Amino acid sequence: MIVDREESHFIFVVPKAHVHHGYNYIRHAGKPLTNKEYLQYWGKWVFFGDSEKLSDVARRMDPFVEEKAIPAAKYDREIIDAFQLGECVMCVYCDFRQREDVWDILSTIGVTDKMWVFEKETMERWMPGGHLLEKWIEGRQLSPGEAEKVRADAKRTFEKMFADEDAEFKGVMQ
Amino acid sequence: MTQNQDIVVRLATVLARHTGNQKELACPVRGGDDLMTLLEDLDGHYAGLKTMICASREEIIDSINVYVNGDNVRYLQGLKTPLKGGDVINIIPAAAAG
Repeated sequence: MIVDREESHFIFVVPKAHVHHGYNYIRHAGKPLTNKEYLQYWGKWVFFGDSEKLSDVARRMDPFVEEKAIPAAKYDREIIDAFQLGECVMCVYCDFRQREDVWDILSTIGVTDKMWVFEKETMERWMPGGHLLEKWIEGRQLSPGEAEKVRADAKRTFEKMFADEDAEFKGVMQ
Repeated sequence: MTQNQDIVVRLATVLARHTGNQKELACPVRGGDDLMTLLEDLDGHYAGLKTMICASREEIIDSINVYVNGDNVRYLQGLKTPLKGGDVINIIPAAAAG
């Protein structure tokens, strides 16, 4: 189902079971991923477009997400100016070991740009010193003290999230 | 895919400013191509394109991601990644990768 909440920058495509029954779509071969597996295997196909194009892809993708052939997706409601991309981004999530099956579906619904990004890469970019976190700090014109607090909070959050590598991965706040 | 096909380079909108807003470029295969020789070739047509992507002859700028057939070249052979006809290259700001 398409979850479009105005308060969120992102529009999500997730199984109804996730929304209504807490189903964890971060899994492979029927089993939820551990923190360690998440960092090793979880990632996304990324592509761009205007919000109309991505909404259209989301509608076509929705039945595949419902039947769990595609775990989940999200896309930008509007362009993020700070990243100077000039387009909205869609991320279609899956396990690396499943990515070609997911790509086959995406290519049948009109996706042509093929770019695989491991979640670990994205996380590293949101860690202190990472390109995305520093851009975010710059965009908000934070004072040096506020910026340091944001960096410390990010570091603490990630450390806490992955402290037990064998625990089931519980997701990232969006 | 055959060796006779061009290599296709797709640029994110923001990067296409350097190519007269052309988001897709077809590059003929010369044989023995790798990513660096392709970028040097393109730089001959679109001056400044290479310096926007490469930090040196070995390294890609941290804020840029280059993909060959879907895979980030940082997991392949970086700027020495070999190319063949039919390959599709996407070049994007790393910030766009989620």
